[in-house]
Amino acid sequence: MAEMRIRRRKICRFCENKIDYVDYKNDRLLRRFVNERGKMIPRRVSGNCAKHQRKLTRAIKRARVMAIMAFASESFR
Amino acid sequence: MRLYETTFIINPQTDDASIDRQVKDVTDLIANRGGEVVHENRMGTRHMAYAIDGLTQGYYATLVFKAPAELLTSLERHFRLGEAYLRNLTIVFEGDLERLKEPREVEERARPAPRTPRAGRPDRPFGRRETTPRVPEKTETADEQETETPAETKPPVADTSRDTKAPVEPEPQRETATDAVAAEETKVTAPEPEVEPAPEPAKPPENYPEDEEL
Repeated sequence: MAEMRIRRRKICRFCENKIDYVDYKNDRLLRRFVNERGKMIPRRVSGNCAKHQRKLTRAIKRARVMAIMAFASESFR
Repeated sequence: MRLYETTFIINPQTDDASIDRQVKDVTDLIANRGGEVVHENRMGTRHMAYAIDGLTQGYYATLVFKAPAELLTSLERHFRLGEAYLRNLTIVFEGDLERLKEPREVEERARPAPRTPRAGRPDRPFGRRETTPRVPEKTETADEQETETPAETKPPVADTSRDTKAPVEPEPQRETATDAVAAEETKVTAPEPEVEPAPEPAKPPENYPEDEEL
């Protein structure tokens, strides 16, 4: 990233909303942090803080095991 | 005695009576071995993200219960031996018990299986994610506020400068970003801390350049 640009400082939306528990059953929330192919969005893009990213990761992985979310999905290529 | 949470999936093709019986078996097992079921949430038949045993739908149920540690081995054994249980997951309960009691979550989850694949509906059950970009629905302002949450979608400045492949679509939304963020901040202190209230028409967050794998 050689270009200098001012990137708006992203706030962790979990910290912002004071959410402490990320529920693995809440697919609507979890899907926001997963891309089209089902892969998790990196923290530098989503803006999450480390603590919540870890919780989120755990929740997504649990959701995947319980078939609430996919491990990988198709995308049109 | 600790609080645990177990979620399990039952084959939905069996009749309601046997589904009830399966769930009751679990609750009885917990009660008989010195545990106490604190909360039961039957999420009903949902689409699963992938097929299990050839089934695309499953009946989901969650129990929150207090139990001595010894009960867990019996519980796991019960799930393992029972043929009706497709999946199960038992964890230490980390959520908030008071919030559980609210009926909000159960009502929300009472959605049926997906209707049409490309309806562009704001909410969706479990299942394969739609891969075609949907037209963002601007019917409710709440939707816009939801999608404009800063951390989630494209940061305005960065996106335009690298914008060789990104669609034109994000542009009009950005104009309302500041308004939406301001409104969002007032909305944030509203009852639900969880980012759930409005249905989400959010575009799949694949527009950031780092993730383009074309």
